[in-house]
Amino acid sequence: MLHHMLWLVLAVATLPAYASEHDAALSAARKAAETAPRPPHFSRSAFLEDAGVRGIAMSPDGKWLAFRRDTGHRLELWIREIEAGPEHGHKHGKAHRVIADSEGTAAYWSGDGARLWLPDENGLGVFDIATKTGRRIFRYDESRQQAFWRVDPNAPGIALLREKVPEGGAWLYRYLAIDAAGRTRVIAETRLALQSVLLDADGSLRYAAGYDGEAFDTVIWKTADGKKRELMRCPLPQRCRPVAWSGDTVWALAHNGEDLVSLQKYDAETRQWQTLHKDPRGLSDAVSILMQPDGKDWYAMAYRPDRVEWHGRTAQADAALAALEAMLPDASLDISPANDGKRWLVQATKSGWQYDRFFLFDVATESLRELFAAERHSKLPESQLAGMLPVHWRSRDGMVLHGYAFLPKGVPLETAPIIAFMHGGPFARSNGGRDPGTQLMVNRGYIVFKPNFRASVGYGVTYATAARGNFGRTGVLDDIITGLDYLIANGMGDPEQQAVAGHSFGGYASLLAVTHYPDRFAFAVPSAAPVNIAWTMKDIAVEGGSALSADGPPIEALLPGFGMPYGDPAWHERMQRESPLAHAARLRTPVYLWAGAKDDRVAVESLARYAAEANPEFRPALLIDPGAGHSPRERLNVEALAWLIENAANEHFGGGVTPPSPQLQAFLKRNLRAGGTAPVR
Amino acid sequence: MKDLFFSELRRFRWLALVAFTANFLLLLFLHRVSNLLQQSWLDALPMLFIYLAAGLALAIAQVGSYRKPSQWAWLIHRPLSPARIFAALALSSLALLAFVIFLPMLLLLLGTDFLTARVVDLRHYLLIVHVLAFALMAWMAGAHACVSRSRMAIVVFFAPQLLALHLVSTIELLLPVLLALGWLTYITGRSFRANREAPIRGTATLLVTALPLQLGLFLLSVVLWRFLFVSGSILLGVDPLNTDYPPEGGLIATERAEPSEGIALGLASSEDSRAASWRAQLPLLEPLRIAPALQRFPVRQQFSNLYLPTGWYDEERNVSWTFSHDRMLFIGRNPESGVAKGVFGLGGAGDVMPFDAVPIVTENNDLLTPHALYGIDEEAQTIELRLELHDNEQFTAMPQREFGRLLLLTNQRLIALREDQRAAATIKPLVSDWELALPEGPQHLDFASLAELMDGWLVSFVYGDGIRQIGFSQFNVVTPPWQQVLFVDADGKAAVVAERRINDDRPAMYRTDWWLSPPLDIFTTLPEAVLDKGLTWPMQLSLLPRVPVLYIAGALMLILSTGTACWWLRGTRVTPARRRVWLVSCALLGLPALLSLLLLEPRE
Repeated sequence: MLHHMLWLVLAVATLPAYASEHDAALSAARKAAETAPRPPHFSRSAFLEDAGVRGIAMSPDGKWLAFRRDTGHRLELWIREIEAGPEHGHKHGKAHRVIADSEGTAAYWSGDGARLWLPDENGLGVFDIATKTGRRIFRYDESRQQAFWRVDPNAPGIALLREKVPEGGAWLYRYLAIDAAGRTRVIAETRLALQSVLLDADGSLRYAAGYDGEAFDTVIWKTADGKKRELMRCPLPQRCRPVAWSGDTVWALAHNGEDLVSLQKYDAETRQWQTLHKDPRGLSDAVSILMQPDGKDWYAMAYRPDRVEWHGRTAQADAALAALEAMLPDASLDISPANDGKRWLVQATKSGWQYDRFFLFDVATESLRELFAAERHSKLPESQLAGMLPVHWRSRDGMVLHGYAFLPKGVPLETAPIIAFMHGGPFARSNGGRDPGTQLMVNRGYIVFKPNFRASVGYGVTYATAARGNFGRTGVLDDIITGLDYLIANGMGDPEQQAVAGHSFGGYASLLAVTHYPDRFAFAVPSAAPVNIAWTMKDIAVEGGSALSADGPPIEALLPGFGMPYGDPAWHERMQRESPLAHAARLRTPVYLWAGAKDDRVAVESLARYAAEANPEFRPALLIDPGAGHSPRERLNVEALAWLIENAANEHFGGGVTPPSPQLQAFLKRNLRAGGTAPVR
Repeated sequence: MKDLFFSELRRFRWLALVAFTANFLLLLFLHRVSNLLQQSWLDALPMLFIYLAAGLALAIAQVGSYRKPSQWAWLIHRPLSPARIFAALALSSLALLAFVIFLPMLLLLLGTDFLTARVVDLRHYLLIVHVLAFALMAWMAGAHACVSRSRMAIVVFFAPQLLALHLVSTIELLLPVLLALGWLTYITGRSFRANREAPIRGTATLLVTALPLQLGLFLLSVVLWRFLFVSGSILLGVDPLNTDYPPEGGLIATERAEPSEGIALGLASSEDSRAASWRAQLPLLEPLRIAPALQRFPVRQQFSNLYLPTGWYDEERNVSWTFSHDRMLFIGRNPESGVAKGVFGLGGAGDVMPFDAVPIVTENNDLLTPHALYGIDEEAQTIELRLELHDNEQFTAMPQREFGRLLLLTNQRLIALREDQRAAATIKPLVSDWELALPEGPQHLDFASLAELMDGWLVSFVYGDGIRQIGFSQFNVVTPPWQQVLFVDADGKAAVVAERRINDDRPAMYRTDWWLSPPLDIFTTLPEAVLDKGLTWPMQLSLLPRVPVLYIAGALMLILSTGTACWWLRGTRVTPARRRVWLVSCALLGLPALLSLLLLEPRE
């Protein structure tokens, strides 16, 4: 509670410092969008197409790239030599196909780049780079619940498997190191699951982070000679992850009692943790770290207040990062350096890019070379897509919130329809990165608003827990409404043309919006939406399913950890009272529902009941995807959901809709039930 | 007699040798392809038919060759009593059939028993004795038909089938098989007489000869009636199974409806305030249908396996586990090396504690006995009791995994259980979710349908119109089709929310054969009720149906049969005493008795 209050004081105190700057940025963005030429109407499928090459990863020795090539019939896994690039007189280095059909197979470089570990659902394979040969080395024992776990680059000769067996009425988690010949040995046995480990070169366990106790705290342990010593304890919702070690020093990205995840270093002599770096803007959790090539100190840290921002430890590091950021302005960068630190693989993402772009960055010469430029060439030009506009506003209770707006170009924004897209979770976030669905809507002339309402993660513990169970008429819903009000007040969005959409919790938030603001919205498209959040949480607790990790905290521990009073019957009663279901008979807004018939998180029967009990005059349209679980997977099914949103928006805002293909039409005919006033054509 | 015996053997020696060799090689071939000893009855049936045909063919070849009056006179006028002539022929055929059918099977069985690790039980030895007995019965029926006035006499063969061909314990089957064989032997022996056209002498012989004929004729009448009824209905365009749409509100429409529609049909007249909401939700849901399709469990030392798996293969250890009825536990064998791999009893691998009933293996590798569900822990090589039913309760369906639950149907309850996923155990403990008592027990329950709602479950029970198929036979009674829908709330409390009477699609006279001959209808059902066939819900003898039309039809049938018999007997020289026997028979048994009279009593 103390943190909560302190943080609020800080937030209230700091907002004015950048508020005017922020308003100016909004105004500039609005002006730029309105004066830009109106882009042509792109087809829906243009947004949904994937790049022909993806999954690019550089070997830690900096010599090879692994990547997937989509041939249209299958997804092939390839490796390509880097050194024979253009500077060596060849367009591309030698390429070898590793797996012809790699769907369902992951690929991890060993820490020395000598091999690729290739786990799939049945077992583990390995591809040897020197001999260019691959083989399967291990088949999982289903009865022991064996599965691939991870690769630690510190121990290049091994990968890690995990198995889970009952012993004496409790689970025993066993972690096995497996070498390239398929020989296994146990490196750790625990009663609760581990989350991460740091190994030494021969594969012995040095540090581990895992769950501990009934409250499922995350604990970092130092391990030696089969004994472990606790170094840090992070109760939910805090996280802590050891990221590197050298001698007796270990670095971790952790809350460690603070509001934000920062870089922490453990001093073995003083037995104290020291905060080395945190977000200079004081907004965001740390998201990534680069270590120096010698591993003796950190090199750079990344945070994501709006987009990913990097900070070097030294001037030299700052210079290299600044050079890189200057070449890729406004992009969020994911950096994977080679072991010697001389070459970085850079994945750059921007909302206005149809596909992420991949580069090799030479640190010494500060030169950047784009990879697979042809295969990942955007068919939709950046100038005709929407950039991300960070938005910060204050909710009813004064809490400062963060989100993003995406503005259509060449239209007067004051009269443009506005759609709020809420993220799922709720303990997740929108990150402002590329999103084909957002771009599709913006292309149709609508403003898209993606609020990171309270309960979103990435902005610290206080932000994530601030909802305190207010998932009904107030709290999260206030944040969404005030965010929309803020944008409209700033000339972005027509107050008469507002809509809400979202998946999972985002769908629930959409239903809440049309339930408690019945005259405000033109329509809602909630997909996989709980109709009573307390009921869905209880259903997940009883039925299991994929919403919760079988090895993580049970819902009874998890939700209270995030400030949700799950154990309080009064909360369940309030959620029921304020639920969309309880108000279904008074629905006055056209609603277009999507449900996965095999959804094991949001039960299809809850949506069926909502549809059945809704006001008959406004009975929601309902698309039940018979093969889908919580989300659609196959291309046609994804497009069906995209069409549902695009079509609904067209019906109410008239921005246009790409007619469905014959296959999609057939799919919709089978699975879509038209609603009362929610027209479906 | 000895001479006749040996001369008959000599007559068929080469044919027998060829048949023996062919049979032995065929059996060996099939045994190489699959384990003949663990075949299901459906797979084994063609072989039994071949052996029966062989018995029949031998009778026709052997006794049929004496059928011409001159040859009959030559055979019967030997210096031997007809009984001894019959005995010589019967014994020679027994010897021939034993050589051709029994001996190859015995050799194969002994070879398997003593040279391999495959499971050979007492039931397999008794099975080949039974097969020989059935082949001999076929010979008797054939011989009887050859020497009777009418070749229709062959229908006597149906009677022993009815009495003795049952999937019950081979030990229990000894008595009916011996009775049936003795019966056929007696009547066939008595039909060996100089004047084959003369009326059968002696009332007892007549009755004993007539009864199997009547049973056979009853079964023929049933087939004929059903054929005529269905063909006629189709011609008139009123057969409910052969129209574009089944009759509205009827059982067939309910059975053919999607599960969601089926429940909605039940809810149509519900007065529950939630019914409208449920009806609107049902098309959006995917309810499950669970039917008592598990008609029977295997019984110990069963004649042949049911069409259900009774073993499993442990891929990791390369052990094939087959259930032994002698030891009542699983016997392991490495199929690659053929080496014995020990036993798997109730206590797991290596344990000799026997099961109390023959288990079947479910698709999820659980073991199911009539009263208990066990899980196999392949890792620990143990068996865990997962669920035990109440006394007198048994499963009537294989467990189904749907809605994240294990759904079990028994002869008393529909049970929904959840597996405790967080429990640290390979075999997850089952946690009770809810259960419902069957509204009218297991008799003629057609199916149950379940729909999962947000706040509970809708469960519909549909009871059928009394048609019950077991194997190839129907044992029908007339019951009124009926549906009940219950709502089970989230706490497992159930309340009836709708009931409806479902229309009969077919008239009572089609659904039951009782009116054709009440005593014979009961007689044909008797073995199903008396023998332990492992039925999951018992066969009940329906002595007096509650449908008036059946009484009228039955009475008419008896009167007509008796009247026709009267008229027929007027043209015969049947003695008054025998005449009375026939009339009483017709008055009791109806049409089959009349038909047997027409066949057995020559008319001037």
